[in-house]
Parts: sequence; C-alpha cells; structure tokens
Amino acid sequence: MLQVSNLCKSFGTVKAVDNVSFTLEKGQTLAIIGPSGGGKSTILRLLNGLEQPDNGSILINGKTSGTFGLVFQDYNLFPQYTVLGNITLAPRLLKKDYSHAEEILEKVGLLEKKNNYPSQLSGGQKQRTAIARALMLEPDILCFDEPTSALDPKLTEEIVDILNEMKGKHTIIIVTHDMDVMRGVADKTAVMDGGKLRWDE
Amino acid sequence: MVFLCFLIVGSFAANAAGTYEAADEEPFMGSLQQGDFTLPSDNEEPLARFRRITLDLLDGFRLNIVIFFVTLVLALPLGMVVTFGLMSKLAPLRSFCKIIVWIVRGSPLMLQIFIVFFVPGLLFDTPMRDRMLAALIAFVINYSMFFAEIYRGALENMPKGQFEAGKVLGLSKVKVFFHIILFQVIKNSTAAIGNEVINLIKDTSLARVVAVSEILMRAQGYANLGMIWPLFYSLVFYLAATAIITLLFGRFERRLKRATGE
Ligand SMILES: Nc1ncnc2c1ncn2[C@@H]1O[C@H](COP(=O)(O)OP(=O)(O)O)[C@@H](O)[C@H]1O
Ligand SMILES: [Mg+2]
Repeated sequence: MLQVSNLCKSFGTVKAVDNVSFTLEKGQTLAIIGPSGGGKSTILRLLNGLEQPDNGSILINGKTSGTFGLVFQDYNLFPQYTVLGNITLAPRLLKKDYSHAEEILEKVGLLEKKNNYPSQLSGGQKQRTAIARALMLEPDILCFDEPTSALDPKLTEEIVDILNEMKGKHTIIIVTHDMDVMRGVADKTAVMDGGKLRWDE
Repeated sequence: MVFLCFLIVGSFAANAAGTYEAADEEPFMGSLQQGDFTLPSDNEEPLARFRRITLDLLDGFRLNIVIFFVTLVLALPLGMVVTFGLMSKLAPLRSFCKIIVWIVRGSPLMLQIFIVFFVPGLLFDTPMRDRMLAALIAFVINYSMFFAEIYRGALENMPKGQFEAGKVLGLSKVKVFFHIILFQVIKNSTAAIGNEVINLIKDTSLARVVAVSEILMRAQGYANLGMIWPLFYSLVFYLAATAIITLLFGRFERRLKRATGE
C-alpha cells in the first residue's frame, strides 16, 4: 500500500504540490487528471526521487524503501541501445535478473522489434519500450506521465489496451490531461489543480 | 599519393618505439638554431636529390605525426577530466578550471611551447632538456582545453531526461555517465573534434620554435640555402595527412551513426 502524506513542493513562489495526501492499495490504478501546470508531473517526480519534497512523506507498506518506476512523457529511451538493450541495461548494470526481458517485450507486443534502435521506432513503439523498461525492475508502483499525449487515437487505444492488460497485476498511477482516455482504466480518479489534489467520485 | 601515405604510415610504424632525433642532448639555450643542412652538391643527380630530400622531409614529418598521435591519445581523455572540473559543483575548482581554459585558449600555442620549454629553467633552475617533450607537453595541455570546451558544450546540450531516466532506473551517477551519457557526448562532439584534429596536424609545425626538426624546419633549412621547392613540396605531406584524417573521421562518424540505428 502506498501512503502519501502532506507532500509539499514549491519552486520559488509557485506551490507546485500543495499539501497532498492520498493512499493507494496494491493492485489499484489511480488516474490523476488536471490542467497543464497543475502539478501532476511534479507529484510523479517526487515519488520517483527526481525532486526532493519540502515536506511530507512517501511510504510503501509503511517503509520508505519501496520502489517506483516511471514512464516519461517523452520516453527518454537511450539512443545507442536497441529495444532489448534499453530494457536490460539497468538490470545488467545492477547485477539483477533479466531473463524475463523477452517475456515482457512479448507482453507489450514488441518482441519482433527487440533488435531495433529507438530511432527506428514509431511513437507508440517507443512508448511501449519505455513501459517495458520500467516493468523490468518490477517496481512496487509504476507511474505514467501523460502516456498518450503524443500519440494519435489509434496508438492511444493500443496503449490503453496495454494499461488495461496490466491492471490489477501492478499498482499504477497515471497522470493525464485527457480525462476520457483514462476513465475506463482507472479504479480511482483524482483532479490536480494549482498543486491541490481532490477526489473525483 | 597512396604511395606517400604508405611511406608516412610505414615510417611512423618503424619509429613507433619512440626514438626521435630531436631528443638529443644539446645544451639548453644553444640549441635554438637551425640544424645543419648539407649544401646540395652541384653534380648530384636531380632524381637522387629529390629522393634524398623526400626522405629527409619524411623523416621530419615523422615527428609531426608523433606529436599528432601523442597529443590525441593524451588530450582526448584529459579534456574530459577538465570538463568535469568545468562542470564541478565545487565553485573554486570550477573557477580554477575556467581560468586555465581561458588562459590556454586565449594565448598563442607558440608562446605556450616557449613557456613550457623555458620556464622550468628560469624558475627552478632545472632546464627542460628534451625539446620534443616540451613541445608535447604544450600540445597536450593546449588541445585538452579545446577538447574540454567541446565536451562541455555536448554535455550541457544533453537532454536532462537521459540523466533522469538512468536515475529512475536506480543507476548511480557514475554508471549513468559511462553507460548512457558518454557515448552521446562523444557522438555529438565528433564534428567539432574533427575540426580540431585537422588544426592539430597543421599546428604540429609550431614545434620548430624549440628546434624540433619537424618537416617545415627542414624545408626552411633548404630555403635558407636558396632551394625553395622543398618548402612547397612539404605541402603535399600535410594534404596527404589531412586527407587520411578526414577519411578516418568520416568513417568514425558513420560508425557512431550506425550504432544508433541511423
Ligand atoms: N523545475 C522547475 N522549476 C521551476 N518551476 C517548476 C519546475 N517544475 C515545475 N515547475 C512549475 O510547477 C508547476 C507544476 O508543474 P508540473 O508539475 O509540470 O505540472 P503538470 O505536469 O500538471 O503540467 C508549474 O507552474 C511549473 O511551471
Ligand atoms: Mg506534466
């Protein structure tokens, strides 16, 4: 279980995340919706350790040692590695198991592209590579920042299918400004605006 | 042309053990004059003379090539070390590196060679005996600073997301640098490095200011005796070298492109 309490982060005078608290049960999918500049990316960056909070705590099962994975809005694939190289780089360097790499590529429908470089992939394929890369380390919580913002409707559907497929097996937080897309996927939705989070029932 | 290339590479390989004549034991200050050049005897066959002078120039160009390779091999990695200094979080180290880069890039290489050659003698009373070594030190320092600035530009232009993607995957800063960033910095530096490398081969002739008997010094020696053509002839050696370098760099760049599937 993820427990976020009184999380705060300001940039200068901008309160990007303003006293946010919520909990998320294992296996649940949370969608955070809201306008641009509402603080959605900042929340994910705080969870993933890319920003240090001014205040508040992030606990997984009561501990601070839980692991997060993040699928970036613009993927951030490593251009010099193939799809397979991208998803196995971290486990190889961290001396962890990566024997399940092909299985995961199969799951996101990218097995036949495993030897392609990011420059040879479409937007949807890059997105799926980024998802596979995050899945490799089996994080407790998997975060998506605007997973469909750069994709056309058909590719968006593909990604939504993958998210639906993952639902229940992983604990997921999806951030998006496209409410319609995530309605079907999420167990819970929240709205983030001006750094404040409120529940949307 | 191909034959010439072969000669250059061959003579370099034969002398790779590092015995260059410039490193002899001449006294400190007295060494800064032109070397001895035998007057071409009037009854020398033109072809024999051409052959003799070609070999002499080639022997000189060997030194240019030694300077070229030693500078590249040492300054390319050293430049990266200086880049770390330039981008360090420690303000004093950063300022120190910036000042050094400014001094080295802002002053003539010729002057730097003189400084490396003379200053140890003037300051510490331990004269620099090896003129070639003095030239090499000056070249390595000079080119390190130019490479450092190129790397810094490439590093600053790296998308932040590449560092963040590595961090989110749990990789240390060192692992992120060596396994994700370094390749891209090198790839994005090659065009600029290529320009510097062409400059380097031409700059090697500056070693003559401390009487390293490289190709131009020898050609000038003939000119001083009234024979001008070796001076123009030396052009061929430079053009052959830059042609080879351009070729190799083009190949290297294509290889880096292939490594990202482009
Ligand atoms: N690194 C930063 N420096 C300064 N301001 C930032 C930074 N990151 C985000 N902000 C500001 O914080 C607010 C929330 O940004 P963000 O979390 O990116 O919103 P969203 O993802 O919902 O569009 C915005 O006003 C943005 O300008
Ligand atoms: Mg955002």
